[in-house]
Amino acid sequence: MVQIDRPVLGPKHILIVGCTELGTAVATALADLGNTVHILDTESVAFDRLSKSQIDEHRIVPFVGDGTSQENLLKADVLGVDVFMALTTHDTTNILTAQLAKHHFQVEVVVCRVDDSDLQMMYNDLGLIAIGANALLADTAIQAATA
Amino acid sequence: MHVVVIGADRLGRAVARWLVSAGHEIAVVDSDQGRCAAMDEAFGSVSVIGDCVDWAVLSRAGANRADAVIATSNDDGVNLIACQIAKHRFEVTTTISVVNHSDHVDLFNALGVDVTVDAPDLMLNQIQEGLTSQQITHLKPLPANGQDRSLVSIRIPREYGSESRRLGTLSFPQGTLLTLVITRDGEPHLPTDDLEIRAGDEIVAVTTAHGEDELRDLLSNDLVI
Repeated sequence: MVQIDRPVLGPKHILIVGCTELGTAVATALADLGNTVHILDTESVAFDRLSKSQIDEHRIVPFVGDGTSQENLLKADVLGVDVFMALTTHDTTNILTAQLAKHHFQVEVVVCRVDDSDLQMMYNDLGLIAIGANALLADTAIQAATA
Repeated sequence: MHVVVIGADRLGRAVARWLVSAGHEIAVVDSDQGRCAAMDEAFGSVSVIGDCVDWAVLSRAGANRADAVIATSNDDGVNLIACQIAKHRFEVTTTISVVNHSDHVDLFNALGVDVTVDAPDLMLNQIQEGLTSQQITHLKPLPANGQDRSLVSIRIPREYGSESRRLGTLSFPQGTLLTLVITRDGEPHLPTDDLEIRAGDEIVAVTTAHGEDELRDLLSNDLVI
């Protein structure tokens, strides 16, 4: 279960690309906190992971499409969101779509999963909030070991 | 020059061939062993097998001393990131990239890729040109100052006969800058009022999208006697 420590101030509109395990967990938690989440994935079968009730209540809205295409991002309301999150399993897809969101669509807050640590560092320098699985896993593992 | 080529598929091979014949030193990066082997067979030991967006791999390809990085893969994400790494990490002077989806061209330009090649647009232009006798070819986008202008070449259609006109008698659209006229024999001329133009000649000009339409109309109607 994902633990979110900071309460989100006011409901936000969020667009997530990649209804992966990570995407699902993040979407579910953010929707539970009262935000509206649009989630884009190329495969509709990926949406099976999502909670029916959150979809029925329109707190999570799924869209089928490739997040590297401007047309699909527009359909998923990229212009109306406060936060964009690229959470697919591929660094290159995440980085491309995140930069589209940031530089082309001017989304204020852009979060991007980047597992390669060199790239994570570079894209943090370039204005994305780049988060890598390994660094976080390492932190958690180290905490568990030294607690 | 030392040039790093990203992607050893057909386009990468063509680029490599040209670079080698021009006497440059190359390294070609691709994650596919087969493609790399083919590359080495053709050009000697030039391939580096690995992930095109991995710093260590690009380092092995000599990115740190490269004069240019040319991204030719069919994945825009890979092309863009390779170019960004070249610029930010390795300080490569010139980054050139094929862009596979016209959607992404603006982004590549905004993120500092020096030369973007809009592949679908280029190919479409060639196809259009083949299909119709009169054509506007886009040579280079000129997005300075927020104006969406392009350097274009427009061929005067053949069906308008062998009559010639003085360039000065044509009223070109506002904001169009004529730069060069290439006559049918392939000879370039500076545009002057007295220059005689006729069907088959090409006019190279800077214009907007709207200007293009006006140019097309001007050159299709005006030469009809």
